[in-house]
Amino acid sequence: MKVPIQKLTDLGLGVFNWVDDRLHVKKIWESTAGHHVPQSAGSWFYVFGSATLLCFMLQLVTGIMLALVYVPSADEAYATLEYLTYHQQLGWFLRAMHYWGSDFMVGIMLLHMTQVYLFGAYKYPREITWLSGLALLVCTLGLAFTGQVMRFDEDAYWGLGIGASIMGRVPFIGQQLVDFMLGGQIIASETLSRFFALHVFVLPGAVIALVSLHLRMVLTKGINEYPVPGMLVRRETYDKEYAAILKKEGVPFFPKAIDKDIITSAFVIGGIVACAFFFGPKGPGGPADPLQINANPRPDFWFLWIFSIAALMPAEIETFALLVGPAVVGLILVALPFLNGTGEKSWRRRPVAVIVTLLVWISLGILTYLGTTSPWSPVMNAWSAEVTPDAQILHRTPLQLQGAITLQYKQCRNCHAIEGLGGERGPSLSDVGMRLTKPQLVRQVVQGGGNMPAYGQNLSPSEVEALVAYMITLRAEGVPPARDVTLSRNTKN
Amino acid sequence: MNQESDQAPITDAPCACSPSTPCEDPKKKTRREFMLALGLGLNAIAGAAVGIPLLGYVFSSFLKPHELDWVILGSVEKFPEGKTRLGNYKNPFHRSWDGSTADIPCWVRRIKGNEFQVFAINCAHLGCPVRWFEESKLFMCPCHGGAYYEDGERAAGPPPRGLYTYEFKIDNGNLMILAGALPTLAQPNA
Amino acid sequence: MKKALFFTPVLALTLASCNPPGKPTLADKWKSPADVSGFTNLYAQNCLGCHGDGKSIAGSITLKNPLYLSIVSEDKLRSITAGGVPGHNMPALAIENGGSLSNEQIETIVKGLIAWRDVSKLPTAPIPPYSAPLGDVAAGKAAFSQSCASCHGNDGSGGPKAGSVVDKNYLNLVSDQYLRTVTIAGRPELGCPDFANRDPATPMTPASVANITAWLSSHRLNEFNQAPTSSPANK
Repeated sequence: MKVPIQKLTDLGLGVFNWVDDRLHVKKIWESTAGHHVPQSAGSWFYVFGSATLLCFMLQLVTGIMLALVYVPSADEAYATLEYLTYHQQLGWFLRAMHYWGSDFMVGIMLLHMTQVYLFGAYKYPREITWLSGLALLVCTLGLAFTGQVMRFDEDAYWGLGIGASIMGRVPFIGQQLVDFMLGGQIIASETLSRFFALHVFVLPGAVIALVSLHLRMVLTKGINEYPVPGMLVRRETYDKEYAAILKKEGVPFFPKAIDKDIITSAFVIGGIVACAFFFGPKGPGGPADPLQINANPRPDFWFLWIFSIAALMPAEIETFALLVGPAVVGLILVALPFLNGTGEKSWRRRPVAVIVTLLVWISLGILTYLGTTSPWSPVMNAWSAEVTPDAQILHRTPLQLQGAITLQYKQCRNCHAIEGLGGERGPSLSDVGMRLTKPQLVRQVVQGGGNMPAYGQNLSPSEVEALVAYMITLRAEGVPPARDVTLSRNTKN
Repeated sequence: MNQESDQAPITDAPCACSPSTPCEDPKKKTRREFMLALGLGLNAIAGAAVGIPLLGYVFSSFLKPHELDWVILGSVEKFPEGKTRLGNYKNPFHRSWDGSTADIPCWVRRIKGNEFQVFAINCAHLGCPVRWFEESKLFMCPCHGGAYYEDGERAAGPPPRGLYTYEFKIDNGNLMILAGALPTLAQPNA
Repeated sequence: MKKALFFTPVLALTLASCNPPGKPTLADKWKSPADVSGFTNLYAQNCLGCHGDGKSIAGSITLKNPLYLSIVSEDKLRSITAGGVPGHNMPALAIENGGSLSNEQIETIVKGLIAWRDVSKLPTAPIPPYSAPLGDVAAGKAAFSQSCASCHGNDGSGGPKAGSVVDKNYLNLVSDQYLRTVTIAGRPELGCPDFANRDPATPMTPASVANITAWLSSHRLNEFNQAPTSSPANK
């Protein structure tokens, strides 16, 4: 049979022309994908925006998949989570994709923001691009937090409690804000429904709207040219200069400048799939059952730094810092394109910008690391579970051995480690006998202080004696016990 | 829409009569303006009719009074004197679809006789569940390391105050507490 | 083309049969602390810190001491595990006593300890019973100087190889039963032999164990350095 190729081509072309005539597909394509960008913008540094968008689209798909099974009811959410994870065919993989997709999305978005800041892309005339980006950041972090609530395990439950506790610190309307956030006076079914609505309707909708605005701005005001040190932005001349750049070296985004975005997108998807495949989904941990008081709640990765800040901040400034801090940071970010909207774009000539960026990333890194180890948290079962190395038990008197038992029994090791075993809230006791004299040890144990509770009420005199007698023996071999230098000087005089 | 406004500046322009743009019929103009004002006004009313109930629905927490109710923790005898034990109760305002979130734990310290202290499980710092350690007579928080003494006073760590307490009463040999809300710093007397 | 036809099903099979490392199995499922079972787990979480397990040594007597396990009854183990030793540094582990373990978990621990019993390692001499009334103080002093003085000193206040066992603070922290148990079972992991091996030629008799316990207990003093009216073990 002879295929009438010519006829088929004509038919196809006819259909296309008809559709194009009605929908103006060609025109729309040319003015969007085909819009001209400076050739210098086809750089590896310019791939993060599209990669973030890609993550979002992936989240939409995997999210819809999960919603096919998930039930947003306090009574059943956890059961459907377990069903998804352990029984539904490939449910674990979809959950893992959604979990890692969100981690990737936040991470890449932060990279995008860093790049935009360092390349001065927020300056004139792209203020609204920057502002819509900030709104997207807020929405994305909101999606990440509400997504953690969807898991409705103990981390979700107590995470909501933390959010409510922060709200409760707001003056005057704290109570109303707590009730507003929880959809009631306590964390319960309405809380989950509320966060579900945010996570699947409100926030994704807001992101789609904001992305549209964000991309619209890219089309109207153009993509930032690769900054050249010394080329300053002036409000009066920039538009003309940008037009000149486009005229001289402008290329259509598709197909001339999209190559690196496409390569990146493959790697991003590959990365998410690989993480999902190799590391799987997170949790669910214990159920959102408040009676399960052995919970050890930890936030998801991108909120660990907040968890650390909450632990490390002095109690006196905490309320102020928790409420005013985010407002100040937000204000600075919003004001940035207006206060610093012109001048040098290249990071090579903006040392302050580089230092600020480095400081922010290093702080976030350190805080996140601390959040994963959380040295400030007592190790709740250290007292009954952690062993003591033989060297710290052998050759002790019966009294000192009773001190060793008292040290366990009174839960000292929940906060104090011996040879690395135990809590890290307080200093290690491995060499405490070299640091503190007997009177100092007695004082510290009985009166507490320096963030240690006073044990005076809970220790009998004999327990104090035994405990201190034992702790004095905790020192490196051959090292004498600590002695009071002021006392020895006094005796000389 | 853009195209329209680009192409038809004359008809849509407010009637600023200039030599180059011919004026509309003044009668026609006032009618048009009236219709527009009427339309906007009607929509404002319609918007309020939709918007006010909507806002009232979403922000109901700002209008509703904060309420608590008495719940039974169990017979007084359940709690040995001089000890602190975990109690639990059903949230008085729970819904049938609350699942496990309807059951709320609390720490009950029976000092002696009918002298009690009933503490919320939530740390005063950021609401994590504190755990009681009988041996060292301390409550410890797993999140940021807050610690409290037996009587609920802050012992160490970031909490800005002692543990929240419930109001209690003894009724017919039963220990009852006034409960139904997540304790936060917004409640000064808890 | 033929190769591809052959390899596609093979590839599909490998992919299907391979177990993705990220795929959670039912074993990864969260377990309530109340559902933790198995003696090894429970012992490691609740007992190891103070008692050690024979391999690691700790402040208190190791529970893997065959002599100790042979004299203590299963009921006694159960009541101590569940209810602790009030007034001394052994916590109550049962939920109804303020601990965190269910009755089944207590049972697992008790049964696990019983399973550690090893009759093959017991001395041949007649083993004194777990509990007995305190003996004669004066006779206890004599028995002490014969069996214990070489390490703890003639008056018990410490010698070349071991510290004081008559220290008032030490005695305040231990019960008479603890003194008796250690007199019988020793602390072999720390170098203190059991009743039969302090002098292998003449093992201690049940009577001298009771007497030594009485003598040690007679050194108890209250915070005003006076002999207490009643033994703290009974408080």
